[in-house]
Amino acid sequence: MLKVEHIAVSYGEFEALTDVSFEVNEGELVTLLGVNGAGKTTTLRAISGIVPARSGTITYDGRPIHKLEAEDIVELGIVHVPEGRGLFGTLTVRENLELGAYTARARRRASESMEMVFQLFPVLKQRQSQLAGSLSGGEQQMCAIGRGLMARPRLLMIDEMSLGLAPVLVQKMFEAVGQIVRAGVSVLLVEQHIRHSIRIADRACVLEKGRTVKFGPARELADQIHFQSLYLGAAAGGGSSE
Amino acid sequence: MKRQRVAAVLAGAAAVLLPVFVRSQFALDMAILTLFYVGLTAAWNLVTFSGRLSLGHAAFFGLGAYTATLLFVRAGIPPVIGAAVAVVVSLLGGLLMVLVMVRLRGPFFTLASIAFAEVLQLVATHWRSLTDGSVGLHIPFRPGWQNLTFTSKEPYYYIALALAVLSVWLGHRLYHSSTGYFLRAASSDEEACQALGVNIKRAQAAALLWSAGMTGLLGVFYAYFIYVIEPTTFFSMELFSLQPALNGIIGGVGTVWGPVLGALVMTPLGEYLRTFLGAMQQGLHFLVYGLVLLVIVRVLPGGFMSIITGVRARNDDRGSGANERGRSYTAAS
Amino acid sequence: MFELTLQAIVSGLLVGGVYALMAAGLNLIFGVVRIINFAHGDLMMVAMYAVYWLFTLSGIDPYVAVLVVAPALFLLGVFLQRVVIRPIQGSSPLMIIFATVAVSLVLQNLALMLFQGDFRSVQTSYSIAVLDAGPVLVSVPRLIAFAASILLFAGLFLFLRYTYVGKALRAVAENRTVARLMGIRVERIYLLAFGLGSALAGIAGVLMMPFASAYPTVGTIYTLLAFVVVVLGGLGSMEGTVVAGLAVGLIETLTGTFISPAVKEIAYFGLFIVILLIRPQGFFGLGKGTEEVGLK
Repeated sequence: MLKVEHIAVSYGEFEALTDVSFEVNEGELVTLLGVNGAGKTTTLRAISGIVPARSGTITYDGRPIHKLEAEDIVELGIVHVPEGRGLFGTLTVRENLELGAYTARARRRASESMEMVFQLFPVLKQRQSQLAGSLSGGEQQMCAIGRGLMARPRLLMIDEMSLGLAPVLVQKMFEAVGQIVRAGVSVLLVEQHIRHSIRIADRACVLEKGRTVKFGPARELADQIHFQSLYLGAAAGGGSSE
Repeated sequence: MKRQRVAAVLAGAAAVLLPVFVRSQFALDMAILTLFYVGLTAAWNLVTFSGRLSLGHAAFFGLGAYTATLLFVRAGIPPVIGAAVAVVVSLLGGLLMVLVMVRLRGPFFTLASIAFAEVLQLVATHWRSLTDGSVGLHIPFRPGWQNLTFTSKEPYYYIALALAVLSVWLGHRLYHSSTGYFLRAASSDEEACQALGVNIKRAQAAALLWSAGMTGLLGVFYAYFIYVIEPTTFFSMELFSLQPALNGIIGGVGTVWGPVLGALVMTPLGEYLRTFLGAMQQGLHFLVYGLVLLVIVRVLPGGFMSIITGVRARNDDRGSGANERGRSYTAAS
Repeated sequence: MFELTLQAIVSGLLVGGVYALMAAGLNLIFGVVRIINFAHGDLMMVAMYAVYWLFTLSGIDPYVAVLVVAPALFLLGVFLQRVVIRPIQGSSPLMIIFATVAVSLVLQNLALMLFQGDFRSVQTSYSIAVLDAGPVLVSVPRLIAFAASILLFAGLFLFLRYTYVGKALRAVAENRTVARLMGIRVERIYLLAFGLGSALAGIAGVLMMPFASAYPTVGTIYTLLAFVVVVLGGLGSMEGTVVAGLAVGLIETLTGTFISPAVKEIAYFGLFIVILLIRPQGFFGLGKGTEEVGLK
């Protein structure tokens, strides 16, 4: 469904991505792994059209999308839940969710989607008239994912889903992702909980210094989990200089 | 380098000898006004080294002009002495703006500077017992150097030339001093410089005060050049706040020579438009300024100066200029 | 004395409502597009001239003229955003100040060229009509201006709160990158915000015209006035704008009544500088995005 081939991205002089390739199939959960600064967030931003790819191609259903504007990519059903949730803090939870369904395609089914989101995260229903900025960290992430679902995605990209969440909530978020995938939505997940995400992912892509170093079934990577967790974990904790 | 020095000497000689060869009163008036605006623009420009845009320099201009004139008209103190007092009063006005500047940046500073000049204009208009309000004050015609009143244009020309040179020299000195270096560094990141222990606020205050004092002095000159002083002219936002700012921006903001260039090009152009077309078309002069500014902002954000530096940078790449660039770095530290 | 005070308060609140409306336009443009528009008052001036000419040439009543003037100002705002601002958006805040100052210069001097410097006002049948409300006299056009401003404010609040586009405007004001991820076409929202802000300035101009005069530089004073209101009320805060608009109106009439009409402008510009000095974030907090326009 989504195919990323040899994309490169630079911010001015700095080359954030040099050669990233992977793909996501219909109904599949793919996880992006790598230390801080390896280029995971930039990869998502390139797919959603927030930053332009300097070279390489991104195709969606066989059609190139790397020249499209972010607004058009949402219309296609690729939805990006950004790092740090990116909620509109001065708007209510309900308004945030409504804005998730801003595109014409999604807006037609907004009330139906809202019901679905409230079913997945019942706490949002209670909090709907509260300002999003006043939610707890976990609720904010639910609201952000809920808002992503309001756009009726075929591919949902979630960046740093469990960053700063308590273990119980992390567990909850992973369950929610499982449900989303079972409902037929493909998910591209960037996560710091490597073991956890490898366990539920179909395939995984490992980035290192802006390039794909490994892409394959998550099971194979799980076998090397010891090495990987040492390598990825240490860097994730300490932060790389990059 | 050598060629530059020769050019400078030639330009200087031309400037000094100009009144000898130019006998047309109109041309001489235009030259005086151009030099006056070179001085005013260069003085205004000192504040931009701190990354701030003042649209209220008419405040210092009017303060200077009114102080010297009032001392002469009301107390008989000749303007050569009055000018010194005028500079002090402009500096006091500058101190008030310093209080504003240390707290405000960006549009807030710009707005406060406009409001400051507007308030002073209103005060000058309504404090009739002192200033005769909007009627204004006439400077009595008593020729003599101590009264800055002359029977021919030439002395005014040389005073304007001296003031312009002084103003540009101030800019040059400030730019290449450590203060100027800190200011330029701070205009991109004030906190970082503050954190390095550089007293940025003091540097900014110094730049603003030099600017205010110089502007006040030019105000004195202008008052004695046209003999009449009244609030709407001497605190005019268009003439003494906007026009130097526009010259500076169009010439190249934040550089020493850009504003000079801007004033040299735009003043005669503006005067030409005002004199020959202004009678039919009031407003054309500033309309042209506005349009030029719109174009500059869009296609040449560095102003006219960026054309010249662009050409020079290209020459530098061919080898000769590396030295020059190295020098400006050491001068800065 | 009591009646004089009451009269001043009523007049102040009435004119303050219009000040709030014009400032709301400035604040909307700031909040969404992150532009401090130095030509805001000049947009008002354009509207005032339009009213004057429609009235003088075709006898169209100012309150009818609004049907033409408001959409025209909306389009002018859209044009400015599209042609002047968009190409330099993202460059230094100083450049954007220059650009809007240039627009102000162009508009003022076009007006000067076309209409000369004369003060122009419209004399409608109700221009000097007065309502005798017990201890105070209420000027009818001022009352209409106030009522219309309040209605428009209510409309603006409802629009921002309850419509999809209104929510999108608020979303873009808060975070434009994320707004794009929602599929909100940010460039279009900018056009809309600039258009709406300009239309509000235009409507304020229309409402003032029955009791104010149009002249080429009238905009400078209104730009400053709008800034006084916005700074007092807090950049980005619509609620603050309403309160501050009324406050500035009050200050104006109270100083005008009890000290001297000459002092009223000195009073609010002085106040402006003092507020900037002691509390630049205004009294209702500082909105987001102030870094981008170079304020912090």
